[in-house]
Amino acid sequence: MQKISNTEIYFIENGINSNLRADGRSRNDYRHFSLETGEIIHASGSARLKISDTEVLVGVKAEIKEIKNAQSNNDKQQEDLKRFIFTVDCCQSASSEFTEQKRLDQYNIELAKQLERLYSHPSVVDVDKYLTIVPGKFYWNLCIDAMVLDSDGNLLDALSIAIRAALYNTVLPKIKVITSEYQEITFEVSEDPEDVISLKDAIENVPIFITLNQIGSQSSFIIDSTLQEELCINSKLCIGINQKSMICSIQKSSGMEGLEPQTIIQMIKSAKQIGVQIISTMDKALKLNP
Amino acid sequence: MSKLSYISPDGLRVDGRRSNEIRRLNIKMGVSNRADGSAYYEQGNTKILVTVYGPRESVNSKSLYDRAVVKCEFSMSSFSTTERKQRQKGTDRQATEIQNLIKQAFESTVHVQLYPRSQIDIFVQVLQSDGGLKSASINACTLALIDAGISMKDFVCACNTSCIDGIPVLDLNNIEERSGGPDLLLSINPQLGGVISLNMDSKVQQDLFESVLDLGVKGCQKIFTILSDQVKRYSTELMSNQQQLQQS
Amino acid sequence: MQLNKFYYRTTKKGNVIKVVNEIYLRDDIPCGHEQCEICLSKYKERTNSEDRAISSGEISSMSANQIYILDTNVILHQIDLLEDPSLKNIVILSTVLNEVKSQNRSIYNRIKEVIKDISRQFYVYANEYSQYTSITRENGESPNDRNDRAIRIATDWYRSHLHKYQVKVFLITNDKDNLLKSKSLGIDGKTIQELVFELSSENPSLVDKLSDPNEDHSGELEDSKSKIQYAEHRPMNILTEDIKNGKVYQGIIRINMNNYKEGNVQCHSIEKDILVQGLENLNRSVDGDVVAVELLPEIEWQAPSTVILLENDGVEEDDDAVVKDSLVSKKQPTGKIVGIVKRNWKPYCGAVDFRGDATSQGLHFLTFVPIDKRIPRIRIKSRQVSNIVGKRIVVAIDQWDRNSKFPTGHFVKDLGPLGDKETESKVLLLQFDIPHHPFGASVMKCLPKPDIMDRVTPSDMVGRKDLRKECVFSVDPPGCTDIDDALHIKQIGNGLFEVGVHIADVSHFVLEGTAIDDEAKSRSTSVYLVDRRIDMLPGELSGNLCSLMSNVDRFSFSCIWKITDQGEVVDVEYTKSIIRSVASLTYEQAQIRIDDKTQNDQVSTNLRHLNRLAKVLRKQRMDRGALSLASPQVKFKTEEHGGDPSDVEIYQLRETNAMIEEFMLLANIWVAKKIHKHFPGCALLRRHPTPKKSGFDLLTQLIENKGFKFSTASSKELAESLDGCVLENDSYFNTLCRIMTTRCMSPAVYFSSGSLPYEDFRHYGLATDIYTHFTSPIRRYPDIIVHRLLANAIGMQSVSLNLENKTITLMSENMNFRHKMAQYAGRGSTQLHTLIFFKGKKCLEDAYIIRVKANAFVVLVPRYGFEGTVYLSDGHNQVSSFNYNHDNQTLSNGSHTFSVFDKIKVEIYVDDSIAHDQKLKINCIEPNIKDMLLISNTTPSQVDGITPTQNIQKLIKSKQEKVRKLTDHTEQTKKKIKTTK
Repeated sequence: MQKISNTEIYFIENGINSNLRADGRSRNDYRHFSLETGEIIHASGSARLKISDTEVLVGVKAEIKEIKNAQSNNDKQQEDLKRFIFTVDCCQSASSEFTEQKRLDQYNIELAKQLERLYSHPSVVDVDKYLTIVPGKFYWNLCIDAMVLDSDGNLLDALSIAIRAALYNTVLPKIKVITSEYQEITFEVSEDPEDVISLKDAIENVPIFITLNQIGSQSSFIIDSTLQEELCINSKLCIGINQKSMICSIQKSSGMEGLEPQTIIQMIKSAKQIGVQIISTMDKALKLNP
Repeated sequence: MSKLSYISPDGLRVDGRRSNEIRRLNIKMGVSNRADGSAYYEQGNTKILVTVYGPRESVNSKSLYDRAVVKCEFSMSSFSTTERKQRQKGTDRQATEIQNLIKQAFESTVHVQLYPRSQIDIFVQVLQSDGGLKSASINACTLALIDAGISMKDFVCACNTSCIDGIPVLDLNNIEERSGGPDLLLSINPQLGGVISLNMDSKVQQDLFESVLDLGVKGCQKIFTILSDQVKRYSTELMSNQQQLQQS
Repeated sequence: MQLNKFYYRTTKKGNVIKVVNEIYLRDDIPCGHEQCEICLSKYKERTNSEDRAISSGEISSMSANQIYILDTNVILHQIDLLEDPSLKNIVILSTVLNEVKSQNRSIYNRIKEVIKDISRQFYVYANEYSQYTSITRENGESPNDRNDRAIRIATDWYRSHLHKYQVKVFLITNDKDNLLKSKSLGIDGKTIQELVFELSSENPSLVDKLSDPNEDHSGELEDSKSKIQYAEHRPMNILTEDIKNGKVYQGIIRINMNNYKEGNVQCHSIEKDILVQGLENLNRSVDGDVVAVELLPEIEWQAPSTVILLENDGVEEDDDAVVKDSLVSKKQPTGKIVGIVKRNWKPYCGAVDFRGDATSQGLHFLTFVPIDKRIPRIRIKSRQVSNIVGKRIVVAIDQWDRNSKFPTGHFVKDLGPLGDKETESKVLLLQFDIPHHPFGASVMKCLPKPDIMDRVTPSDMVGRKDLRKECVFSVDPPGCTDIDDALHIKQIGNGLFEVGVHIADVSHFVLEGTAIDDEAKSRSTSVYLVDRRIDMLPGELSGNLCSLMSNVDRFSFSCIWKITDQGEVVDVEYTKSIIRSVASLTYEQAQIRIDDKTQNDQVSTNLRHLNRLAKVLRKQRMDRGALSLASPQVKFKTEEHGGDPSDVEIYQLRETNAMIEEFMLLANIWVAKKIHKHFPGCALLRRHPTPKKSGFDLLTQLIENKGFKFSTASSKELAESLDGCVLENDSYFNTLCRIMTTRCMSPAVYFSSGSLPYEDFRHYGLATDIYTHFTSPIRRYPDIIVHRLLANAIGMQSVSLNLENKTITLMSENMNFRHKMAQYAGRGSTQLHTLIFFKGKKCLEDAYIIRVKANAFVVLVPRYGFEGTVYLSDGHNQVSSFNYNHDNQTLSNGSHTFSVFDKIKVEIYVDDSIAHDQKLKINCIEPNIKDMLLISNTTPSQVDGITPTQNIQKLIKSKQEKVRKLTDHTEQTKKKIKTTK
């Protein structure tokens, strides 16, 4: 666990209060980031995102999921409805924060769960249109595996942006369903490897996370925090925003202090603004370089 | 007769290489700012990222008073292979094997006695796997260690060779690895000339083994030339950057 | 340059995965033309001598100033033409080669042979790996279109590449679309027909080999009577879907040997074979094709017919009605063929049926009658009728139209005059796919110097035991030149004998992975025909260096036991050795030495010891329940070498035969134990499966009808039952029982010990738990493998083998196949000689009925060891006066009943009324029933219980029935004339 001295905290807090952060950004400034898609050809889709030293790599693998008994118990049904499976793997080398295996595992799970909550709502991706092979029986499951190669803060946002880009990059083979006399179902894939369904158009509503960190005074909060800044966070609010600037999820995670409702409103406002901005920049870039 | 013919009559392999050619190497050094040394290594479709931390103080008390300890963590991303595989840390046998392989290879090559009571951590991250994982990992580690400025006796260059249909072939890809031929992993110190490790897991005739081994040594030498070129280019680049900085 | 190719596929678990393969594109693939220096220098610069060594000697280069690039369809349809040596300077693109490979494996292998032949100047250009010619599939382009485009691009590259050397490049394709598109690119395109006609001025025979897949034959030959409309075959994509969802079944069609209008389809997904009856339901499938078959509703299911159909004579037959004498109780799933998944057309041997003027010129349409009865007649076109008529020829099928009753094909090869012994033997070899080409140069290069045994070096002797002092001798049939085995015996006190079996050390000369080893592996066995032998190994090895001849030093592999005089093995030793045989005896000579009490030299005494011991061992084996089975074996006597047979004699078995056999069995068993111990997962063994009880049901009933007890519960009981089957007045009856028992069992097979549980290793006939073949490495390849395994097991051979259950299993499959084929060919040869022997003779002989069918019965003639069919009627348009009783296997007309085991008298002669249709006829003389119409033809004697699937004589058919009808008719007319008068 990285430690930080009181003077450092003082420096950061004061900087934020006066809207000038250590790297010269204002509170609402995002760092430059670069996005690269399709690097992992073994996967159905992939994206690599770099925000300063934070580097994440997301691979999407599509698998066919069979739903055995639609009328089974409720828990199972819930499980069956999930079309996305998330794993996050922070490399030990990525940050000195991650040296302890047990903590690392917890952290991985925490991130994965957070992402899952954001994406698992059926309205995110049109399941019927894109991920259904045989209604009620066979679906595409998307296994979204994220790797954190290096970390300099703002992981959750970075992951969500990378996932969105990776989904944009994802293509699924077209499948012909063959039903035998005995209702046995087998699949046949098109011979043409270019004959595929792209999820390009399916991701319109896929949200991203904007994390706002409250540091220093009650009303001062920042986005895209660095690792240093994350060490002096008072409280943290993660907001899922989609293209239409709609809020998809809000999560106040375990900060030391509470947040005033007034601040939360403010936070949401700026999150909306920034989220839409990021999504549109990102979509523009993705469209230009498919 | 085998279903696949791995080598065409005119001597080309499934991916168009000749029997003694290695795949395309793409190398970047110093890719991570945080780590002491790092390298991104592509050999064909096998893509590996290695980061090195250290020499640094041992976290636990297992340090040795007269030399450094080399530690290695190997992990594969779940999307690295053709079929998705969720890997559990600590229970993955393949990972453990490679970790030991790398640890042993570098404990014998790094001047460990220069760094007493410290440890050198090597993290190997496989982004994509398409055959020759072990050899690619070793080569990538060499580069990362060099980037970290850790003193070494020599490079460690590794290469896998096999023998398909009686013809020795160099640097197998995923398809060829499944041909069932003997898989020989060879790592050497190319300048000192010592064999660091040699693994083979199949029976093979002795004279054939000799020619396979011979080809393996040649392959390692070839890789060495590419690696050392890259290291030279990288260090001159670093130096010129430094000069520019000083001038400005 | 590197790029990735990917595709999707489904896994076994039903998931869909993405597969990515890397491809490197090169700029140094030589174009293969001699004059092109750019390619050559680039190639030399990029590769070192070792690389070139890998491919040296295998790559042809082209020299002419006109080169041809072939399209896939040309290779697939014109392979016979391409095999003609006058076609040269041809480029085969790797795209094309891959397409051929995926579409037709056998054509692929043939074209590969052509490419290997350097003199043919066929060059393979790896266009998919060349950065100049590689292309990726465009959006929406079908794989086929993509390949066509790849071919055009490559041709275009060749054209511009070789332009400066004044070399012209032609694309040879019969695809109109491709031709058109290539012309627009500026490529010179031709159809194969155009090319052949250009070349035909020099070589007219090329035209005949041209197959004409696009030409429409319908109507040219059809007479209105036989206008048949077959149902359309369903297209491939629909078939695959139907097969997957279980609407139709996929399997290989096997046409019934006795009835060409009936076939069985073996499917994996359905337990029983599917029966297909009638030409229309067979729907143009040819024996061996992979077909898609749809089941008929259960009420339409049929039982297999029990008649032997006479004629494959479609034109004369006016109905395709299946003979409906089927037995209701035996109904089987019945279906109709709706599509062909994969053709398995091969070249077929046969002759043309031609009765016109053979000297006439011009184009003729001929009907070709294949020897293989299951293959339909084939229509061919020829301009050289006089060259074809009266010859054995090879013909390939080109296509089979919906409205044509028979397929159309083209002439491939002339084998020689009909009925000629040379020709017919060649036919046998072709028919049974026996490799019989002379050994190639690369094989001969592997041979050691002929005097190598005179210069034995110490390094040869490492690990070898010097047994030259021992009194070793061999016993073989007369005239045997490839002596595999020799023996020695000596008393060593304490009532113990030391017995050594010495087997020629072939694996010393045939090293694994060499050309000679590959050749032997593919031949797998020597093939013995009546008048010739097709060696597995070159004569230098089989007849000299390996053969354990007397008075020369020879390497051997020895198995030496210490045995008590009670036949108990106390100790065994396996070793490589060097021996010097003192005598090469024949069975007869050995027998004389044993019997002649006055001879008391060492060899004779030892022979007596061996003989005594062999008897003890034999008794033990019999007590364990070993069967002594029989097969009718005859031997032809010829006046001079290679002459026609002058007499037939039954192969005489002496005590010495049994003696040698006994020790060979012992060696095989002990070696099997040893190699299984050392290589439990991959020992090459031989097993004889325990026969199913149901297989014996009929025979048991028949023998019990005769009043004997017959139990098949165990091999021991079976052996005892057989011993009990003795008829006082008929000594042959016992042999007959044994012959028929043999046929109820499946043959022994080679297998890898890793593929079966130990209980299944058993050799039923020999009543031993484990068995292999060790003793005849000169003429059997399995023995060579066993030698290598044994050498490894005793630590002799440092060279490790490519030993795996998988490879051994694969190998044993080939060995079993070759072994079977060799047997068939041997029988076919016997048959052929029988025919030659009977030419111009007419003999009366005893015969036994061994099988009864609804319209005929099969007899065995012991004197000549062959079987033939005696027909009562021709099966369809005549009602036989005999009643067939399936359960008792009898035919009866009230006054006389024919049943199995009956002894009858028959008349045997050759019917040569039709030149291309000679065959042996058997008429029943006693009992002579007037209205019995007896036409027969022979089938070969069956050994080992295998029914031969193909044989020549059966296919040569009689026309007597027709002749008889004609005479009847004329007589009737005569009568009529008389009455009118």
